[in-house]
Amino acid sequence: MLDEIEEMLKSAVAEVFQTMLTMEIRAIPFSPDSISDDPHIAGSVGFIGDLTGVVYIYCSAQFARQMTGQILGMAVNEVEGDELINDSMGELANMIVGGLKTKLVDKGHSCVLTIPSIVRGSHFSIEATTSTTRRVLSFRCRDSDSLVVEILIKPAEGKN
Amino acid sequence: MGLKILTVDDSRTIRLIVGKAFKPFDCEVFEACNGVEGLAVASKERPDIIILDITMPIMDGYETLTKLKSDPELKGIPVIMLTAEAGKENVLRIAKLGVRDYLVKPFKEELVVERVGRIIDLKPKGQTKEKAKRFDDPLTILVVDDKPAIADQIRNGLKDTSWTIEGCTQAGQTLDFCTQKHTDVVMISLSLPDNSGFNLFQLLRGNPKTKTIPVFALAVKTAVEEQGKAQQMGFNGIVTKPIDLEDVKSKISRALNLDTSYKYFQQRNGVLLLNLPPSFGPSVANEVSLHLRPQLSEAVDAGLDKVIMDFSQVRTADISLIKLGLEVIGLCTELSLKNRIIGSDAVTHECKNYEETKDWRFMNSFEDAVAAMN
Repeated sequence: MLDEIEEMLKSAVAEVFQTMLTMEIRAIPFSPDSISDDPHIAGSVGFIGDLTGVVYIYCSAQFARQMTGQILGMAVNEVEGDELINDSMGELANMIVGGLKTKLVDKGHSCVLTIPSIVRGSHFSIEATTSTTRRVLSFRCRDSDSLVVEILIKPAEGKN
Repeated sequence: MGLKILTVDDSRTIRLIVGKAFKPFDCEVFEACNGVEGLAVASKERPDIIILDITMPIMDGYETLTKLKSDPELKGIPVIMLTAEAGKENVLRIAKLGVRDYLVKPFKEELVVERVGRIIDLKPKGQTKEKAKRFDDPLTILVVDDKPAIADQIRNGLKDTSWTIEGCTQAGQTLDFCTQKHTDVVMISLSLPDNSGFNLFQLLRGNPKTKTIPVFALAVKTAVEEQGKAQQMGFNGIVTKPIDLEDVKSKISRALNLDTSYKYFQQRNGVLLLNLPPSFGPSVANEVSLHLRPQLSEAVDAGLDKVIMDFSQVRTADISLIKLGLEVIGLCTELSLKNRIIGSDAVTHECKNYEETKDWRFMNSFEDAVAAMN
């Protein structure tokens, strides 16, 4: 099941990037060293139901700014302040997890989404509790921009 | 007054995307970041359409829609739901609440414009207020023909204008071109394979961004059936092959309501001069005729009392020249304007042969004509 969810996420990420950002993005093997100590932004959206979990998408603050400009048709230097970047990251997470949810519901796993939230900072890591399964997917956009999508998932009682 | 569009979404990014998508249209976009705010703006502004997100804090899209539909004042406003969740269950639920359409995120700006354009009549911004373009302004004409030689021929024939002629050999490229680049006129060959010329016309008319672009059909002179079908479908006109470039100029000028009067009329030394070009023919005669009354009235208004028609460059005195001359003389009489004609030997001679023109007196030059009226 987790492998299937991983494929669903990859497909949702590619669709959102292609449609909203007109950017090709490709999955690459994850390496913890690929995450720099530069400031990062993470957008997260949870899902609750037959399957319960949370999806984080995170990237460098610089790439998040570039993506915001691309979505809104603005030059990078026109993107002022952090609020708009936070909002765009939250919306990207919402769209990616919305795409995942649609695929899960079609497979019979109903769930509802939470409202997006944002975390900013350097040196942060996401830890999973013992009852939670974790998968980390890494993506490369253009030549050097990286995006990490992390899913923590916990089956509801009585479900597999 | 322009249309009003209300976008209700907790994401500022989405509200900005919606606002940007409708920027080229004559409409005002209002924003609200949750259902409560959305209902308040809807009551105050009475928008023509609402684009409503589902997952929002304070009041979500379902509750907002239920409240809208139970308000007698607001229930008639069409609503398009915007959702990140495309599951069947979700779609059925919003359909039951009476939405007109729904859009699934991620979405392209063009898609939201297209869906809204199906419900309300979007018009490009400034379409009615914009100052009339002149014939010598730059225009972009797109020629859609599977034979590139046709676009080349038109480009070559119109090189004396400041118009840019672009060519597309496939119908499929045309919509992308027109939605991405400003296009003033499209000319579609009706001989494109599989009736794709007609299908393309319908696609252009169905898209809010392209529905007002004048579209001409390019057809072989003998393809009467195809021309009839094009007329029935509402093409703005037919350009027949072999192509008469003067006719193309005239048709484009009329379709875009281009001001061409400066090509023929000028005021010189207190006289209104009507100067006909060597390429004079029925289409130029029609064009001049359209400007005649306004130009003569303007001349009277400016205190002028003399009109000179310069036919000296015209090659032959055909029926269109005679009709135009008679029209000018008639209007001059009506407006108490003195008038004279300058003509070449050939035109002078030809005019002696017609009953209507045998008494016309031709002058040799502008100065002679002015002197004859003093």
